[in-house]
Amino acid sequence: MVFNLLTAAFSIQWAILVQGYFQFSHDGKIHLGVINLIYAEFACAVVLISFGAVLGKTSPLQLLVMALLEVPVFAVTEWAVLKYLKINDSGGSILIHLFACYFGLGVTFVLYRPHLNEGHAKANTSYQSDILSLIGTLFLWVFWPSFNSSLTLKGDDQHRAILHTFIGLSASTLTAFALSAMLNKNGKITISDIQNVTLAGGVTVGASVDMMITPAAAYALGMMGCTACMLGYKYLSPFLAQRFRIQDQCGIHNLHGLTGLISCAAGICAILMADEEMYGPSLYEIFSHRAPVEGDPKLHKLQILIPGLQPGLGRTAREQALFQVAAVFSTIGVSTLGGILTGFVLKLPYLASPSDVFCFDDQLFFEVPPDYDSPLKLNNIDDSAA
Amino acid sequence: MAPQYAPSLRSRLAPMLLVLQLGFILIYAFYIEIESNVKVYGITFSNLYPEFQDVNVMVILGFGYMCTFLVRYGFSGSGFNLLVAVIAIQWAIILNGIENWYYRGKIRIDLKSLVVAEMCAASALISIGVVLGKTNPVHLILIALLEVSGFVLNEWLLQTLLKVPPLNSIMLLHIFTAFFGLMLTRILYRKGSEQPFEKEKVDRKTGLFSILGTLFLCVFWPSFNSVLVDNRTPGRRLGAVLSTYLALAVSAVTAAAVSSLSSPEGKLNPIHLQSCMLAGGVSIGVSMPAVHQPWEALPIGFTAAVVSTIGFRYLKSHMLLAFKCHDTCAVLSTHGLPGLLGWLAHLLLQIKDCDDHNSQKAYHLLAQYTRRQKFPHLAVQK
Repeated sequence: MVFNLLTAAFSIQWAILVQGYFQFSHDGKIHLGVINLIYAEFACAVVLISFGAVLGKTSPLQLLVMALLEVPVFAVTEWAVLKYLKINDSGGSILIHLFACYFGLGVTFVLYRPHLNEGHAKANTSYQSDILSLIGTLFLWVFWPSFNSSLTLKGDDQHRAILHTFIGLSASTLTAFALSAMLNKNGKITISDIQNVTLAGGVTVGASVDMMITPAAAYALGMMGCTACMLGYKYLSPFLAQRFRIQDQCGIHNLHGLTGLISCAAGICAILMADEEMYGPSLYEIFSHRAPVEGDPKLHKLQILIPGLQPGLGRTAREQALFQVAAVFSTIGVSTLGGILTGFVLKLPYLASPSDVFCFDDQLFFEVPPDYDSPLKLNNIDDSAA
Repeated sequence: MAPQYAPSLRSRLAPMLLVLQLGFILIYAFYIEIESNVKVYGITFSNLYPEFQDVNVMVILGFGYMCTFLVRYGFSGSGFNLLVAVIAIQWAIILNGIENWYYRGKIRIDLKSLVVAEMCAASALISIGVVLGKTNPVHLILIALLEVSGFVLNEWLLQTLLKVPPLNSIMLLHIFTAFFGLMLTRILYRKGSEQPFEKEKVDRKTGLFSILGTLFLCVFWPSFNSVLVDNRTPGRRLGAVLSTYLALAVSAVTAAAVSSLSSPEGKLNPIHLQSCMLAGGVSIGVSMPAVHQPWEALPIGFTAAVVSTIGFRYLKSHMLLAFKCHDTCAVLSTHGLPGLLGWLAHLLLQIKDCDDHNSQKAYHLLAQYTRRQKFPHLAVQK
């Protein structure tokens, strides 16, 4: 938790500078407003998601270096994708979640610890820590609509974004409980599934959240994302750990990678199906790069209907969809490469990586209170007054 | 006692949830669409988003963590709270829109319908608090569906037959849910309730989590009470926020006092403080449309806390023995009685403020009659 705070604070400051340089500087100075903070917070979210892949296996120095390297890579990717590829990604599913996931996987691939493959004695939870972790999940659940809707256009788009996110989250919550009971030998619900998988719906609706996908589609996306995430936790993560040397500690590939991919596919479908009949002239506001080019007579007609409409690139739906695909592949490529290079930097001996025995242990870095060493209570032992 | 294995949820919970979710998808696909042409700074959307998030936090974090007070029921308390809330919200959106569907063929939803649905979900969550620890999640889903249906039906009856304004009918959720839950627990009475349950205990750590939930509820209660207040009369929403805040403050202080008074060693019981602090919010919520001055909010909070704390202390065992209702979260004293008190306060305040000529005449006649009885020599000559 404290490392999270440290990394977050560092990332936000660094991101304001880096993103400011790429996106917000005029006349040699970076202009600051609340929008910078929002973008910086997104960059911070990227770093924290990647942190999840290496949770417990790094020292704070390594985390700071990871943030130092990840934020510029993210900023450059974001700038390049937004400026040159010009895609529609309001909830950040492509730019944030996919990037963070594959960067984290890249780092953890390089930082592979063969002895951790059989699990670690200290890498388990307690009853109280699980309940505390659930608070975090519920905070994320409650405020996810704000996350998805912060960069959308005001008015109908933001309204749709909030409602779609809420619906997606609701669907994935129900499905998470159902699948958790279904995939368990005794039919019991696993609390870590609830902590992680209920949020899958929010990521899955991310790329298409402000488009006119109907509420039913938001539901379907929520269910699909949740199913993919749950099956990933149960089958894909162990497979990756054993065969591909990728030890994904928090399972970020399931929650952010798989759901991000589904979200991109959904976004592409929504873009292909968007037409003027459904959206009216506001089609050219949401998909601003589909607006007619400067000098096109159609632009004038639209500007009468929507004053202030900016000229775009005159792309067709197919072209926009192709650009989205290009963005997905380039994001995954750049982030993986960046992750692997960062992993090599993190292996420097100066950065004090914890040894295998001391993974998942606060005692290496913090002063701990006297009751720290009390033995962990195992499950299924009935120790109430019997 | 040897552990007894509960029937597996795999064949019961999972199919039920999946079928329910698919059913919702089908209904939403055919009948629900999102309201378009939302005014950017109008009444429907931007004004409402911060309050919507506050209500959202209350429903998901506040109620969820308040139900983790039981020592071995933490996961279920907060986890099932999320599950029931989500089901209830989806179902409530559909039910609240049925009237629209009947006349127009489609239900249009916007942020306000989400807020109203969250309040209906809050009523479902309070009901499951009454049976907390004694049911399994399949029961809880059914309770959510039926309770929300009953509540929306009740609202419709009040609005259509008795012409009650929508705000008032929603705020009566506290009374509805308390008695719904009590009857539920009466029917689900178990023989084993006669002895105190071995696991129905509060621990130091879980008590703290529970207080965390209560604090979330307290902090955001003014939004809960004021989000549906009509802001066309200037200052009405501010009035609602202020009255709620004051009532909560007064009830917290009073609850501490009464809790200390009613304990044999004069100690404070933290559970009293938690639950009875909320009693002020409950009763001011029910009486809010009639509260126009700040001074009216304070005695409402005061009385609510007194009634609630005394009720908490004595009613729980009484309800169990006399009425066979084992109320886990003491919802009767937290929501039922303060709700009724709020209703009474509403009635009295409305009579006081009434401009109706007939009742003024009646009031004067009453005054004259009493004067004549007490002071015959001062009787006004008619």
